[in-house]
Amino acid sequence: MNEFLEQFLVEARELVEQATNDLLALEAAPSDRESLDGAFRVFHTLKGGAGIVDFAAMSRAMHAAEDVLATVRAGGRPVDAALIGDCLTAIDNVVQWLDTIQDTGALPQNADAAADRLVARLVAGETAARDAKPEVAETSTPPAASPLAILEAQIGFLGAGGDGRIGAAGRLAANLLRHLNRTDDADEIARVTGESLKSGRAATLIDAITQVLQASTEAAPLRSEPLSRTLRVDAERVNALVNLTGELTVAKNAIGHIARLARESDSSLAAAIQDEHARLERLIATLQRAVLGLRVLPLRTVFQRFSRPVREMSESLAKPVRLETEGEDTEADKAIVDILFEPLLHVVRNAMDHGIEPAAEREAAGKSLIAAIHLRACREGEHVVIEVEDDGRGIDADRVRAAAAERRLVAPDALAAMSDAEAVELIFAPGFSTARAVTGLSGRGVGMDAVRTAVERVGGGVQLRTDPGSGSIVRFVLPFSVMMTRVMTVQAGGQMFGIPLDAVVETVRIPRGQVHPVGGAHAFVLRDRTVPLVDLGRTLGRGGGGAPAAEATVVVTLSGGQLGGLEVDRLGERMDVMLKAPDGLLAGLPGIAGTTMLGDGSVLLILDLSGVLQ
Amino acid sequence: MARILIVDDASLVRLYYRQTLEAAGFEVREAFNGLEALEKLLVEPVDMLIVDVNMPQMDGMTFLKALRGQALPIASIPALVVSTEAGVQDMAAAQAAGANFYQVKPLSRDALLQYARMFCGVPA
Repeated sequence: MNEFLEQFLVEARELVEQATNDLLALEAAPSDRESLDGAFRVFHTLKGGAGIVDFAAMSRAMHAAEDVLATVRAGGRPVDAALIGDCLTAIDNVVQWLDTIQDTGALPQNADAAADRLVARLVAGETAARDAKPEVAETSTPPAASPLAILEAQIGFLGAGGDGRIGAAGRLAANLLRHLNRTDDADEIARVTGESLKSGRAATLIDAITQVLQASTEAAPLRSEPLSRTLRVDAERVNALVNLTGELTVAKNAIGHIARLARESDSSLAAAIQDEHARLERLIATLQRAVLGLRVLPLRTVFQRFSRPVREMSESLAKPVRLETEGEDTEADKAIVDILFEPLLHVVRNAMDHGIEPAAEREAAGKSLIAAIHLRACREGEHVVIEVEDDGRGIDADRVRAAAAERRLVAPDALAAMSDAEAVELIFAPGFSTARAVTGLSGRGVGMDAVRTAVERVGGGVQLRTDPGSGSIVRFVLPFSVMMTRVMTVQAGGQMFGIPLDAVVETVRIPRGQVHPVGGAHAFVLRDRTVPLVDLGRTLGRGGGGAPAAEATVVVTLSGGQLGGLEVDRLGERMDVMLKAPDGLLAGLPGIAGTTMLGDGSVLLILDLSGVLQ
Repeated sequence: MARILIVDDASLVRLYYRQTLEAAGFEVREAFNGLEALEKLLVEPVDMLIVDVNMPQMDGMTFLKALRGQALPIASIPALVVSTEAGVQDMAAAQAAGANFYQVKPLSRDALLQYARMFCGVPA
């Protein structure tokens, strides 16, 4: 007998003993992972050893036993007496074979047939076990991960980049969304995947997946249990987050500027910085939306404040009124919810005071003696719509015309040319009031113009629909979230201006001697770069007052890829404003991006830098 | 119907997966190691790979690295790695090698079908 075979026999007898112990231990404790793994390894090693010494029949039988245990390890079948019995039979066979090999140096003649019987028995046991009680295996195994968890894992998977990964993550992400019946999202991911493959940038796809995940978290409470887990957070903390997000935007812009500088010295590094800048830009935009999403409140907080004033008005005016609210669960940004009460109260007062007729008049018109005021809210796309509807007499265009003429709001011929609908709109004109007598409710000098101003300040609008004889609806159309623009205020030529903060790179003071005339303009050198300098006051036609200071106060901005310096008289504060497109006289004025109303009612002009610097 | 390639050296595991998946209407292909899997993919693309880690000749991790370096569309086949190793570093290693997701064995019939439906985009 050769040395090789002797070694095999010694090792195999040890393994057989170990397998017997492991199998018996496994039978006593079916969940014992160590015994299972031990028995599996023994069959695996025996299979390998038999293959080396060329005992094919034994190798085949060991492989079948190994597979059975692999199935057990994979959760495919439970550990039961039949399984242990089959495996022990296999071991008994091995012991007999080893004895024969010891005597003859070869497997017995009948080994092939015995091996076939063993394989058949092991496979049959596997099938029988599966058919008999599959639930045993299934209840003890963990469930599959959720589609969203797998989706999230693609972000880590994409980290290393490359076409294969982008393609695989994109395909899987789209399929996960299809599985969730979110076909639109799936199509969008498929589109972005194509884009990402074309540019070779994994970040594009990562951002798209991040957005889908974010949208899923927002929508989740609707789909899962109605009792969502909520957290009470001080509004100040949320506002601090919103402001920090704004500051992050400024830091991001500085990186964009650095990327530009880097491109001039080291192109490879610049591309990397620019990539990260682009990624940061998208992430910050996502963060901003997420943070603004924290600030939503249901309109119930506003609506529930109305029942008392309405009851009181109803008593003092002797007009029985029923207040009905709908859609109190509609949500809106806290900044909007906070300003709603006053304007809505004003509209409700108007409805009670002027819209709803005295009881006798209602009776004569065949209306219900109890008037109804509906307070409704609903979400329409990116807008939140709030309506105040009354079933009163509506607005009489002729009475509005008469009142407007009396107050000389509009020239008589213009008034005559107005349609009824246009005339009714005059109730929003400043200084308009049709109250014949100043009652305790309306007519305090605050009119519908104040309502419209308040709503427009948060980026909304007011619409009016009236049906003479049967009532009016005042409709507020408000943005769902207030996208604030963070601006830096500056003073130039005696006036305040706002500069969008995301265009501000830095502020510097330049000694007058370092400002050089270049052609017809001026420029200064900032860290080896020549930056054109524009006197903001003079450019906007406000004239430079007095002698120039020894140092120029300059706001360095980046706009359209160009650095530019704006000389100002003084730097102001930073603030969040609601940007409104310029209208009226300001429309079409170069250099003005929009206006915003400040807390004191004054108007701040927000600069359009590309216009100013030209 | 979606086609799935099972890459596992244990024939009974392959049988178990095959019967489960075919009963749910999936088309199933089998490979007993990474090399055979790569050869089969070059002949016929699939929609999903279910890959074991420990296999002779070419293990799961080596296979996935090779797969992601292939030309599209073969390189972009989503892969689920199923293994007995449950450590955090194993998950990270699998993702680094090219696995889209990693599931610790044992894999129940329900979980297997659930993964197949999610990976192949079968609506729930």
